[in-house]
Amino acid sequence: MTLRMLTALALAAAGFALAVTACGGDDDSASPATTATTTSTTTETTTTEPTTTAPTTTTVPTPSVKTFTIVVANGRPQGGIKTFTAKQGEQVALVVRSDTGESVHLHGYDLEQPLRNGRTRIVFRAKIPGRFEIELHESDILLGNLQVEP
Amino acid sequence: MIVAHGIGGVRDLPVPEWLFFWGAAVVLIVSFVALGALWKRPLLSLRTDGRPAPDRLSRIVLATPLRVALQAVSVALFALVFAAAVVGVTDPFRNLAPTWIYVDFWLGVPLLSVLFGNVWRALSPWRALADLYVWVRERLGGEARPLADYPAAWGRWPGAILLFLFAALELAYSDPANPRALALAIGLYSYVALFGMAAFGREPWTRNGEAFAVLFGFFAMISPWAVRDGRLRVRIPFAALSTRDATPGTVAFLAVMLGSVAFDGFSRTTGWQNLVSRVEAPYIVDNPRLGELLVTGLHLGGLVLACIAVAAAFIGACAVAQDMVGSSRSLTADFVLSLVPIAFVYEVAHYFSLFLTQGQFTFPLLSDPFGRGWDLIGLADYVPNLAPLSPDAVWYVQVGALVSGHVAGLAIAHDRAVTIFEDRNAALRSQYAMLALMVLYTVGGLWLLSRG
Repeated sequence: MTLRMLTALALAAAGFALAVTACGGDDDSASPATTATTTSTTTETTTTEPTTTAPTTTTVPTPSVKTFTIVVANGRPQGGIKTFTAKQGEQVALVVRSDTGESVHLHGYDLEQPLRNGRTRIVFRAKIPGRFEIELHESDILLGNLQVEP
Repeated sequence: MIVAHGIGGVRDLPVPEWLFFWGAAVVLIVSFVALGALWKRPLLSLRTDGRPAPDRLSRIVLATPLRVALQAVSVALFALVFAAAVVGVTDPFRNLAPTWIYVDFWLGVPLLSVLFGNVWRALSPWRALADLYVWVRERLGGEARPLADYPAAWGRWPGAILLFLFAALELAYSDPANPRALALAIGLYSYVALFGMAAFGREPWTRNGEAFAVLFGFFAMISPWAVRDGRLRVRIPFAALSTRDATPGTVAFLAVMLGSVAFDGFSRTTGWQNLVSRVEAPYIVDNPRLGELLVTGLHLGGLVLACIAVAAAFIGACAVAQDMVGSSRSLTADFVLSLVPIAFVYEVAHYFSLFLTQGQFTFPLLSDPFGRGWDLIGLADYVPNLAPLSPDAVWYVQVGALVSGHVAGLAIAHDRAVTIFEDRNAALRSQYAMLALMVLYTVGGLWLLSRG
């Protein structure tokens, strides 16, 4: 009786576990897809940025600066809010072009740079691991998240 | 602005997927092993009172001078924080009030309550003021009598509503860390708390209407310490939760506790952030006020839905359990307290790293509470360590907390079941639904932590 009940329970548990993993799996397939797109865009920007910055600045580009570009139009970051991933210790350049706002603020690191002609660039070393919001001030619009992984 | 926790700039990295799946698997395995192996006779519910603590300890801990001293310190700190909120600089990171309220008070007192019992009795500034008023009144030969009897039908509803309003300020309002907004909130809440005690008496209002007292009171039930008839008692941790609580509004109160933390996690998923961004964008240039109002409304809606979802899942599970045992009375009052440990670990999992990082700012802020460049206690230049724990350590604490809370909740519900049902099979049958519910809460909690 109790044995039968336990086997029934175990079966139910297995079913539930499967269901959970299945749903988790769904979310998984969704989330890597999104992270994949963000990483692909970030790698895109990292590969394109040095070529664009190098000729304009004409100085030797510092090696391994990870550049993330956010373009804001009509109060929204283009392509939605993304999470940009960097490794701890990496040099990061945050490039923002925006048609509104006065400055860009990176939480946690507490870096703020004014927008000049609708552009700004924040360069820093990603020392603190965690997730940090990138915001446009004064309007406090969220532009994206910076994720620094150890 | 995306509101996260009320204050704080560093957020935890999402729990990695492999750990999420391990956590979920452990939850399931533990649950099913538990069903077969747990005790057959009530253990906790027979021991809710515990035994008397040593006399000397009891006398020291419950000594009136100690309580009065703590109350005096508490009122002084309250006055300082309120003053900072009213006249300090408006930058939330240079003003003591936001960090004190959202970090030290909101996360510190639950921790103290779980460790040491109902400390809020001695730490509540409102209670201290009320005690002082009554003392003075009696000294002058008068009598402080409440205006009315507390209506029993209200139960904990006033507390639930006030707690919801606090959660709304923290998680839905567009500028929760604004010191002036906090000043207004402190003022309003203090008025309600003092008026409630004057109207219905100190104890009835503290037990039902003073949201924080009710909240910390629940957390204190986890602790091994209790006070009865003026004596300190020791009991098995969690044992006090294995009791029936039919006070109206208790489910609502716990649903707000769980739902608000869940919404805090959910509101930081990229999907929600994008939704907020889409709603706000059309107004951001021409009418930012309207955009902000819409976003606040959206958050408020999400918060309400999260609380309703939590409550509906619990009430539904209790209804299924009732159906499966063929019981004639509702089981919600029997099982509702088993949610307390889950609510506590939700808080721990979501906020403990904020407590460790943002909490360090308390030192410089206490030294310069108004942001005027003072250095009262010589700690103004204290430099906090923003990464006191490695991300893995944070993850393990988060997942470990959720799984332990799950086990505690299960054990309490199980103990309750074997207490109320003579028939062991009925007890077991009543637990399927509760088990499913707690798996849902725990795996849901883990899932929220694994989202970015």
